[in-house]
Amino acid sequence: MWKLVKYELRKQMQSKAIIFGIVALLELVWFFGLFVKNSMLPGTSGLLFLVANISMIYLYFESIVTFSNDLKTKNSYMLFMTPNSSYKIVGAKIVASGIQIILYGLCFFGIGALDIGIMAIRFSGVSEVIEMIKKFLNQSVQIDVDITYVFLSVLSIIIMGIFILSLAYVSITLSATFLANKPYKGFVSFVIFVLIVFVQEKIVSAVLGNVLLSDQTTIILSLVWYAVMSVLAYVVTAWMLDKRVSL
Amino acid sequence: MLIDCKNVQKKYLSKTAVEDISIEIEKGKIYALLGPNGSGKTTWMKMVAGLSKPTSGYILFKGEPIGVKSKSKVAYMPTEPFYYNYMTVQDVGKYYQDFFADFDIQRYNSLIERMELNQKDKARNLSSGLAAKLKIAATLARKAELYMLDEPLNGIDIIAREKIITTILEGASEDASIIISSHLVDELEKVIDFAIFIKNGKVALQGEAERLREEKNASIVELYKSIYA
Repeated sequence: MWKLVKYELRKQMQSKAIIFGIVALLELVWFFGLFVKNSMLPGTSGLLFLVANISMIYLYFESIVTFSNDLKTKNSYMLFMTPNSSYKIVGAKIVASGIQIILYGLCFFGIGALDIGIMAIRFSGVSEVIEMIKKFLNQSVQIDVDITYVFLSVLSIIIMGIFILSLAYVSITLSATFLANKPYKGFVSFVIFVLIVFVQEKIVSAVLGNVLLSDQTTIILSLVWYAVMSVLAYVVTAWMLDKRVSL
Repeated sequence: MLIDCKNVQKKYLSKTAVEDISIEIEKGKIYALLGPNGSGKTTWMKMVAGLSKPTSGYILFKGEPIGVKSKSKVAYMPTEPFYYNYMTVQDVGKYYQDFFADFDIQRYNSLIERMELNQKDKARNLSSGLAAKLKIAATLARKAELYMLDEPLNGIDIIAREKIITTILEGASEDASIIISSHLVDELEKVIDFAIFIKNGKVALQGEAERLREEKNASIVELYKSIYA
């Protein structure tokens, strides 16, 4: 399966190179602002934050589009002619997407943390601001913003993201297999996707409440829920392809 | 028997691509799969290659359903270009080497040289003729038990066709079979053992090429014209 993962990552490498090229350029401008022209700093910092967020969203989008192309264009032959089961093929796609989400998320997080650290050294007031934010969160929503909380929050966002991705795969696969010969297949599978997201979010809210502003136990429980749902979505996707692939 | 295909049907939203096809493919023979555009040849090949599931009927490869095992033994060459945009000729070889245990990279490199291709060329930038040669090289570099070549001579100039046919026949052996679909029936006439004529998703006529010629008192080309005219 790791060979499949390798080629999945290779397929989407060009966009990543462009994104990190832009980030590298912005970092250079940021460092220039930090040490030479302080007035550029807020704008560049804001831009970096925006680029990081847009890039992460684009990552999800590209994974979904790549999967769709792999079922709808002749490139699909490259994957489905190989002696690999649908379970391995879909599994490799999810693993590759997970690796990208984690790696690039960590990169952006690392760059952000480094920049804040350097700023804290350069302008001693920054570390005071960070302490103020932590105090505010603790008093207003009773959260101790320690490293475990931050780690769990980030992990749950990643796993939630993988779940949404897996669900998108279910929707696309449904359209390409069991609904392939039906009219309005795209619309129907999209509605099913939205319905499943809506229903499962209702279940999570009813059982666990607002996960993102909750204690660590609640976050861990939500993590388990989304992980299980992701596995279920993966199995359903692979099963549909196994039974009704039609390239 | 390599392929046992019984009453296979493939339906899409607005059409039936394969109505009812029953074919047996034996080891060590060269088959011509003949018919005009839209007759069902490509759809049938894709089902044997595992790229599509039949709506009804069954296809067995050496007694087992089409799946992972058959894909490791069947080398299918589609008629359309299908390599990833970023791939060079060299990347295509590496990809096949990564996934097909029967892929011979040395044979691939030698075929690439014979076809006058450059390893550094991007697959998407090749002309239709060179792209066709790349597909042939990648497919024939496998030591498969069944080769299925869908229109391998499309886009190949008349001088190169004989070379391509010779290269294809190098893959033939007692243990391997070749199925070639083509409109260029006269090019295949001399090399095939068995002919299968597909019309409107059904088998119109099939049999050993020599027996058909004797029984019908006509060449395969003449039979083609009489069936589809």
